[in-house]
Amino acid sequence: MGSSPLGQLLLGGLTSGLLYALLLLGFLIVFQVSKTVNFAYGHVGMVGAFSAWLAWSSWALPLPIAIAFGVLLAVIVNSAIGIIVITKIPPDRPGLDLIVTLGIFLFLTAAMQLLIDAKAHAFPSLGGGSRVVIGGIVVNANDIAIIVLSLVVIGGVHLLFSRTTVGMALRASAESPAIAESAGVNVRMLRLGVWMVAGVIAAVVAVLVASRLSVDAFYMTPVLIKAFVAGMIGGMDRFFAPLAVAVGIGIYEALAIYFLGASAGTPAVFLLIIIALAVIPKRFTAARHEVRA
Amino acid sequence: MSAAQKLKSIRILAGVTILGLALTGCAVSGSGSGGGDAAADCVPTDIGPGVTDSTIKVGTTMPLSGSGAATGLATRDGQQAYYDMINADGGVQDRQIELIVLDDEYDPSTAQSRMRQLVEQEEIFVVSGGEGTPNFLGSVPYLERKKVPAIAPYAPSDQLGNMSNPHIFMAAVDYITEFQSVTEYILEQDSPSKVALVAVAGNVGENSEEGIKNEIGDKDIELLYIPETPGTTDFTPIVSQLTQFGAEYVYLVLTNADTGGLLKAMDRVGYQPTAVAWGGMSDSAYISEYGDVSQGMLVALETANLSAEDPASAEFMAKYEELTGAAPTKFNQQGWVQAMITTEALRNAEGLSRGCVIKSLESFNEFETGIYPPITWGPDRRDGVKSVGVAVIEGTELRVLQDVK
Repeated sequence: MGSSPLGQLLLGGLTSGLLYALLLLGFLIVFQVSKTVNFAYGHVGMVGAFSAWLAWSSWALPLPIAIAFGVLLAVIVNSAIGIIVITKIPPDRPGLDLIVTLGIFLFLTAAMQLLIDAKAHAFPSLGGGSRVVIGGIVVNANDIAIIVLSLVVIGGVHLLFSRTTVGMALRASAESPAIAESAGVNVRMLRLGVWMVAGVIAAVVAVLVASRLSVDAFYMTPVLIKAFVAGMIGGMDRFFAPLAVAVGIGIYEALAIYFLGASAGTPAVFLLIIIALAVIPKRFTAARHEVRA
Repeated sequence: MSAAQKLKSIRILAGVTILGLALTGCAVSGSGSGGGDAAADCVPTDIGPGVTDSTIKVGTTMPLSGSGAATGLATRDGQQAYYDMINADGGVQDRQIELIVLDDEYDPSTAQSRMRQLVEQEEIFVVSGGEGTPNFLGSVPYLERKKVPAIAPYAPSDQLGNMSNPHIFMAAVDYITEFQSVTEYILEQDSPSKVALVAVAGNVGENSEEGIKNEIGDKDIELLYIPETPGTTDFTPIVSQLTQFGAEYVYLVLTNADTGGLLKAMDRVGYQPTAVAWGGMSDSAYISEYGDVSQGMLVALETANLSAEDPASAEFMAKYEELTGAAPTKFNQQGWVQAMITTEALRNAEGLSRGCVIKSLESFNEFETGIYPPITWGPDRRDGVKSVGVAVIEGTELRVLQDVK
């Protein structure tokens, strides 16, 4: 056992915050490419993780295969949302995507309760039992996996968007799909690819969250809400700012619970929205405008 | 519309949606309408709501979704199995019993709303059992106003089982008694200097704390109480407080999922005190899911242990499996006994009015269920049972250390 409770607390907050950031990342790439708010995103991950649990516990599949199965399902569900549902929404109806995906959120909740059940189930700890003490802080394999995976994925996505031709094509198709199409960019395939990658991210986050808590048809809702809050504060058309806010929310929430009690956690996060939007200069939260020659 | 305007619209809509979702998750206590029409006295010729020539409608709310769903679903199934058995044998007072259970999501305001629906729209005759304390407590003021008897809900609380709420007939001990009994057992076996309690904030946690304190008395034992909110996503802050305090025993009065989540978080940092849990953790459904992080956990025993070695338990287990095709869990057992008690009250009532059912319940004297200790109620008594046992989780089994007296 470690000897630094504050350090332990900060590590716990960091890992929670990185999970929020990773979920937000998947949310952001879809929003920034297709201007869609997918409120069912957390439940896409839930479908993946809950299915993985079913495959592992009831069908006795080896855990890696069960998780791969869950990820595949999440990719299919998220792609279906993007290609079948979202594309049908008229572009002159802003906010309709939020309502539609809220409906999908409710549908997925009900569907998974019906197909599996409404109970909470234990998910394997994924390295939670392997630990080492560093500077008085107990660090276990689960924490390390979250930290490393988050940094790799966030870094990788940033590089993809900023340094590759694919990334350039994605940004072009986000700015103006028509012009991008005329320049030879296959906008539809690119968007499908983004929805698929986002599905993978959602499933991975959901599996990691389940490994630390439990899995059921509802457990990703608070995670998505906090990720969404981070996006609103940091700006959904930015990259590092909202992700940093997400990590900050994880640490801030942990401190709030530690000093004020468990019931203070969620209200503290919502208080943060109010304070942040009142205090942060608008130029940091407003949509950016690029000057074109 | 420009991208900036669209973004602004989306932000506003998103903000409203988040606020709405957050508010639906918050417990908001409401007040029901005033008035009531249940008879205070027993008039045998009166017929109460929910009673027809062929059926008697009973109902309750339970958590059928969310973090408390495991126990609610199992309790509902246990009740339904018992009523199916009774109905197959001809029912009660020549009537079939119809059970309606609505989902209260383990939330007090939702429970009150659903109970109002049961009483006013579904017109149930009596409340048959129930599961969960904060949610059920949300309905109590309404039930008292409407004078609807509630029979043996599993809602341990010091607010119930007394004449402050005379329409609620309790067959489960409150958490004060439960944890006083368990602490008595612990202090007979060991001499800890520090113990901690992590419990659902509110009445549940406060009662549990009081029970532990009652037994500690003036002994030199420090107690740390950490209130918890169901559905917590990060248990690290709680674990940090526990490790900093250094408790040798940690009492847990949480939902199944949250108990498992906290024990996992404790395991991740290598913190391994002796865990002590409320009676719900003696359920095989909990042990099968979270048994690997719960080894050696002491649990309060509120019902007879589901063991083939006990004749009454063996009979119940065989009957339940015959009816449902599945072995019963502790909460199936809870539901079964709730239905048994309700059926007995209806069977012995001089008439099918609420006043007559209340009179029937008040006549219970050492009523044997084979599951709970003998139940006794009276004109001035609403706490039917006053004892609890202790068991320990070993492997996938529960070993009884101190039987339910």
